[in-house]
Amino acid sequence: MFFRIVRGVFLKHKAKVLIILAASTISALTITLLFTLLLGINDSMAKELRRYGANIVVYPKSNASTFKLGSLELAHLTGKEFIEERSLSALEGIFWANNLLAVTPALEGSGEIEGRKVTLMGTRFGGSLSSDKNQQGGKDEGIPEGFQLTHPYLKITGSLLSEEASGAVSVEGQRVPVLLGERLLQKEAVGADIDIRVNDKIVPVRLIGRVSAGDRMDEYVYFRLDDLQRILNIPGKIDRFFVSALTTPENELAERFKDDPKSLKPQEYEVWYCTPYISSIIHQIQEAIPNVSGEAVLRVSRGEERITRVVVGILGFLSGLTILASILCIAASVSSHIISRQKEIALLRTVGALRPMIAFFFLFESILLGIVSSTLGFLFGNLLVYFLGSSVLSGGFETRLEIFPIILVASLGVTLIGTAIPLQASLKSEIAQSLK
Amino acid sequence: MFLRLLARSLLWRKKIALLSAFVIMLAALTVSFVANTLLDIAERLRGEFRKFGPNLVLTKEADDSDPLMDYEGVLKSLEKSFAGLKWRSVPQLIMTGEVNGVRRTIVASGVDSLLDLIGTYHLDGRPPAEENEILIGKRLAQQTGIRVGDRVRVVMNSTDDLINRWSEPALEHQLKSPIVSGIIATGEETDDQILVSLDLEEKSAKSLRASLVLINLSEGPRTIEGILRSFNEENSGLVLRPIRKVTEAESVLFYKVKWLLTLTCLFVLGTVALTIISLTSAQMIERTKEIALLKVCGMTDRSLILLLILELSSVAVFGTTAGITLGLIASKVMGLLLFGSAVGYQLFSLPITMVVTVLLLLIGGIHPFRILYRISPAEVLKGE
Repeated sequence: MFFRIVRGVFLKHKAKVLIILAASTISALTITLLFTLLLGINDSMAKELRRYGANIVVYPKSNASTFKLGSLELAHLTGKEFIEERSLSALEGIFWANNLLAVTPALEGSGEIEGRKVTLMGTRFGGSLSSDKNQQGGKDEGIPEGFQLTHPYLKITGSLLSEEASGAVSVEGQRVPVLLGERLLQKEAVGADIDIRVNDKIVPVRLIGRVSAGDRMDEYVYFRLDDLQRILNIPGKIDRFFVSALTTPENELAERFKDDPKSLKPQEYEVWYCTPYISSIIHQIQEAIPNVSGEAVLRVSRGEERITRVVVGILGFLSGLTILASILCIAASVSSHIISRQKEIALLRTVGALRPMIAFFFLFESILLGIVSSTLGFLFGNLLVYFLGSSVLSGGFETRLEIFPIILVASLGVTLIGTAIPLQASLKSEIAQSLK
Repeated sequence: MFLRLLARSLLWRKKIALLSAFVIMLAALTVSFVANTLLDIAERLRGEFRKFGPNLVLTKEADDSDPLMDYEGVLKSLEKSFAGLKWRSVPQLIMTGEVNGVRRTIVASGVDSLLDLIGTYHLDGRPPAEENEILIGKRLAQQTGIRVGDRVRVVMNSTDDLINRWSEPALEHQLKSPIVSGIIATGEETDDQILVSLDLEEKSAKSLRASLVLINLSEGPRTIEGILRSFNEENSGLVLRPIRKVTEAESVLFYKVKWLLTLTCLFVLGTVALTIISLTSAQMIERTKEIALLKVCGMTDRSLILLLILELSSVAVFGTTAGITLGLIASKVMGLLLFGSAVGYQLFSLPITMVVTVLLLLIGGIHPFRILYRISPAEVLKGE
C-alpha cells in the first residue's frame, strides 16, 4: 500500500519530480566534479609539473676535512667521491618507490675540444633500475632511467644515446657516439667525427645529435654512461643521480622536520615519513643508499608548491560557493514541491493518517530522490571529471569512491531539510484552511 | 497603485525577498569573483611562473673570439626590444678558479639582483654587504668544510681566457682573501659556485663586461617566441635564448591551468544559474493563488510580468551590490592568500558581473514567467 502511494505520487507529479531530480543531480554532479578535482589536483599537478624535470639531485656525501694555513682554513680532500651505480636499485625498495617517475645516473668529467675546456656528461637515455625484466611480456617493470625523462624540456635533435644507438660498449679504435650541447662546435653537422682530449688521451667520437637546454648544459658533451666510465677508467661509478618524483606540497610539519627533525613526536614523524613530501623522499633515498646527500631543486619544488596552491585555492573557494548554491537549489525545488502538495497532506490527515506517518511518507520520497540524484550526479560527475582531466590535463582523474558517501549524505541531508521545513508548517496548519 | 502593490509584496514576503536577495548576492559574488579571477588569471599565473627564475639568457655567438659583452650596449638593445614590457636582467661574469684548493666556477654578478631574480634559494648567513665578502654554494661548502664567516683563499685560473681579458682591478682585489658571508642552496649549479658581488651601480655598469645576461621577461610563451626572433634578427653577434627548463614547461602548463580554472568557473556559473531558476520557479508556484487573484482583479499578464520583474529587480539591486562588494573582498583576500599581494580589482569585471548577473536572472525568469502565463484563475481559485 505504502509503496503504491509513493509510486502514484511519482507518476502523478512526474514533471515536478523530474525537476527536483534534475536540480539535485546537477548539484551532486558539480559537487562531485569539484571534490574530485580538489582531491586529485595535487597528484595531477605534480604529474604536470614534472615537465620542469628532476626535482631531486643526489650527490655522494663529501668527506672533506680541513687544515689551517695561517689564517686560512683549507680543505684536505680525500679525492673525488662516487656512488656505486648498482646501489641505485635500492631505490626500488623505498616506501615511496611508486612515486619515483624516473631516475637518471650521471657522471661528470672534463676534457678539451680544439683547446677549449668542456664538461663531459655520461648518462643513460633508456632502460630501468631493475635488473629483473618481466620475461613473460618482455616488459621492464623497474623505475625508468633516462636523461630525457628527468630533463624533459631538452630539445634533442638527431639520435638519443640509447643502447641501440651506441651499439655494444665501444671498442678500441671505434668512434664513441656523443651528443653535443648546441653551443659547442656549432658548425659541425650531425655525423661529424671529432676528437676530445681526456686525461692526455685522445678519444675519437662521432656526433650523433645535438642538445639544446638554454643553460650551461648547452656546453656539455654527452656520452653514454658506460662509455664515459670506461674512458675515465671508473667502471660502475657515478657522481650524481637525478630523481623526478611525485611530491606533495610541503606544509608546517615538513618545515618543522627541516628545522629540527627531533622536534617531531613519533606520531608526527610517522605522518611525515608516510607523506610524499620532497624532504621525506630525500630522507628515504639517503636511508636506502649509504653516503649520499640529496638536495631538492628548490626552483622546481617551491615553484610547484606555489602553482598547486593557487589552483587548489581557487578551486576550493569555488567549491564553497557551489556547495552553498547547490544547497539552496535543492532546498528551493524540494520546498516548492511540498508547498504545492499542501492539500494532499490535509487530505491524508482527514482520512486518519497520523502526522508521523505522513512525515515518514514524504521523507521517504525525499530519501529516494536523494539516493537516485546523488548516484546519478556521482556517475555523471566522474564522467565529466574524466573528460576534463584527459582533455585539459595529461591524465584523467581517478574515480574516488570515498566521495560517494559524502555526496550521498550531503544530498540526503539537503533534500531532507528542504522537505522537513515546509512539511512541518503544512502538518501544523489547519486542515479546513488547507482544504478550503 | 502599482508601486503600492510592489511595496506590499516585498514587505509581506520579507523572508522570501531576503532569501532571493541572498541567492542573487551569491550569484553576483560568484560572477564577480570568476570574472575578476579569469580576467586577471593570465597575469597572475605569469607572475607565479616568473618566480621559477629567469626565463631567457643572452650570450654572444658561441664562435665569437671575444666571449664578453659590453653590458651598457646590451642594456640599450634590451630596452629597445622589450619596450613597454615587464622585465629584469642581471649580468654575470663567469670565470674559473680555485677555492681552498678546489677548482670551481666563479660567478661575478650583482648578487642582490641575482638573488632577487632567481627567487628560490636557501641562504645560510646573509648576502655580501662588504666588498670582500662572497657567497659560496652549499655543495662546495660541504666538500671544502667552509663555514659562514670563514676567510677563504681564491686563486683565479691563470689560463682562463676570460681572466686574461678581464681588466677590473677591483675584482682581483675583492678575491684576494674574501670572507664567506653566506652559503647558498638552490639544488642546481649555484650549489657548486662562488658568487662574487659586482657593483651594478650606473657608473660601474657602464664599463661592465659580462659573459651572459640572465633575463626575467614576464610575458606569455607566444609573445616571448616573437620577441626572441626579432631580437636575434636585429642584434647580430648576440644570441637571446629561452631557458628551456622554464619556458618549455611554462608554455604547456600556463594554458592547462588557465583552461582548468576557466572550465571549472563555467560549471560553477551553470550551477548558480540553476539555483536562480529553482528559486524563482518555487516562488511562482507558491504564489499561484495570489497571481490568480490579481488576474481576476483585472491585471493583465504584461502588468503582472512587469510587477514581478520590478520585484526581482529591487531585490537584485541589493543582492548584486552586496555580491559585487563581497566579490571584490574575496578577490583581494584570495589575492593576498594565494599570490601574496592584494591585486587590484579589475574594473572591467564590473560591467561583466552586471551583464552576466542580469542574464542569469533573465534565464532564471523564463520558466517562472511561462508558469505565470499558464495560470488559469478559475482553476486555481477553484482549488484544482
